[in-house]
Amino acid sequence: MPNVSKELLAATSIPLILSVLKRGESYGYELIREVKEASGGTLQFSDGTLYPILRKLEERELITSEWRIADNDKRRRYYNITEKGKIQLKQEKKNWEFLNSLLSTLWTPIKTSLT
Amino acid sequence: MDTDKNQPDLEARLKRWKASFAGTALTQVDIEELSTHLLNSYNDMLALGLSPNEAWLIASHRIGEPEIIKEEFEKVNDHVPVNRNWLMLLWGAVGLLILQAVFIVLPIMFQNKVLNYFKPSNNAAFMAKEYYTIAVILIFLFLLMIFRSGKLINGFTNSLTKYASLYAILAVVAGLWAAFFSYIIFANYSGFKYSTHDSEVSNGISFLMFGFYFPLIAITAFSTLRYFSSETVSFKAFNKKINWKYAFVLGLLAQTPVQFSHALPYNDTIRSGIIILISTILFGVIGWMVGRSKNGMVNLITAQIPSMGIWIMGTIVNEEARLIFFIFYFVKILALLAGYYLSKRNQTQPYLNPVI
Repeated sequence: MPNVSKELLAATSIPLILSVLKRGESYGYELIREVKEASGGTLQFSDGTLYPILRKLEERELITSEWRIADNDKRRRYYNITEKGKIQLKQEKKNWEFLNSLLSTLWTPIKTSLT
Repeated sequence: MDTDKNQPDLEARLKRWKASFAGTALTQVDIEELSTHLLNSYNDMLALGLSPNEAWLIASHRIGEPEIIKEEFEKVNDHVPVNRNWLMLLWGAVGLLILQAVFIVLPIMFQNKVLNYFKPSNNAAFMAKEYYTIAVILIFLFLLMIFRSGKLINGFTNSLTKYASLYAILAVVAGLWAAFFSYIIFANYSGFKYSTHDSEVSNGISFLMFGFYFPLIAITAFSTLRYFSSETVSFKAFNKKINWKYAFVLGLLAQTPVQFSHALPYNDTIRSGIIILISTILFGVIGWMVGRSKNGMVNLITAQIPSMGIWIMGTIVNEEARLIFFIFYFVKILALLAGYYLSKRNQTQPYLNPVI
């Protein structure tokens, strides 16, 4: 089972959040549930630490938020991705694909004349 | 499913949990959002068949240690503690003004009425006793404040959060009211009696006091709105969050210096020119700000209500000056609309606002 470090998780948090929000509007609790479910329960982190990242993304205008009354008649804050956020996500995707292919290349055993 | 309603301990636990974030970089909105998250998680655990104790334990573990959450929020909300201290400082000053008006200025102003009501045999002795009594009550109140300071601060900040718009209005109305009464005392006890004073000197004093009180009151009202509309770290973000209540307070704030400028020590023409100039600038800025908000038109209407009130009152009180009152009002409406129009035009021309 993979053991994703805190640092790596922090580096991926922005594309993770933007990817979930690209699928549609969401709120904090649901957003975390989606990420955890997609990872098959592998990713473990403190739920509360997601919110400062959301604040940072909102400040950078990559997402927007709005308080509304949810189905249970309670106030809930919904998040949406902005156009700027979608552009950022495309860039993040390119970066991660590049790193992925770079690592794949480096991890492929070198074919020498002896093998 | 609203299972949390059935848990008597839950409220106390949640209250304790929320209290652990008091005075940190988390805003009330942050705490509310995290509590909602915690409750969702708790209810999910209950639905899985866990006991309330187990559900709370797991939910609070999943959301994370308050210390870790605090540290993470400090990285993004570093402005919050600074702004909170600043706001408390401002409210301390406005609170002092109000207390001074209630406990010192009003008793002095109404001493004759008190004497007429009680008709004591020795006026001076009676009044001295009244002031001593007020002083003793104040000392008692201050002692109470010291002993209950923790609860008072928390209660005050919580109510500020809930009723930010009302507090902003209170800062403007009660602050100006306190300033006005203080002015009367200053003017009277500076040797310029109301009936015989030299109007030029009196205008000078008015203007000095305006220069002192108005910025304090305006900054307090604006900081209250800005701080408690939470994410409004920037002026731009604040404008987006403007609703009809905020627009009303902004209109009230802008109207105040305009009102004070009626006391400027110049002739009618120059004074009218200055009033029109200040109105145009302030209401133009408000129109521009409102143009960035969601319900722009509704906000425009509420922003002009204080000015409309002054216009109607002026027309009733001073029939001879109806035309000039109308002109002053009309200028503000024009400035609001012009600011609004420019703001909207700026937003529809993206090349003026390049995305970097």
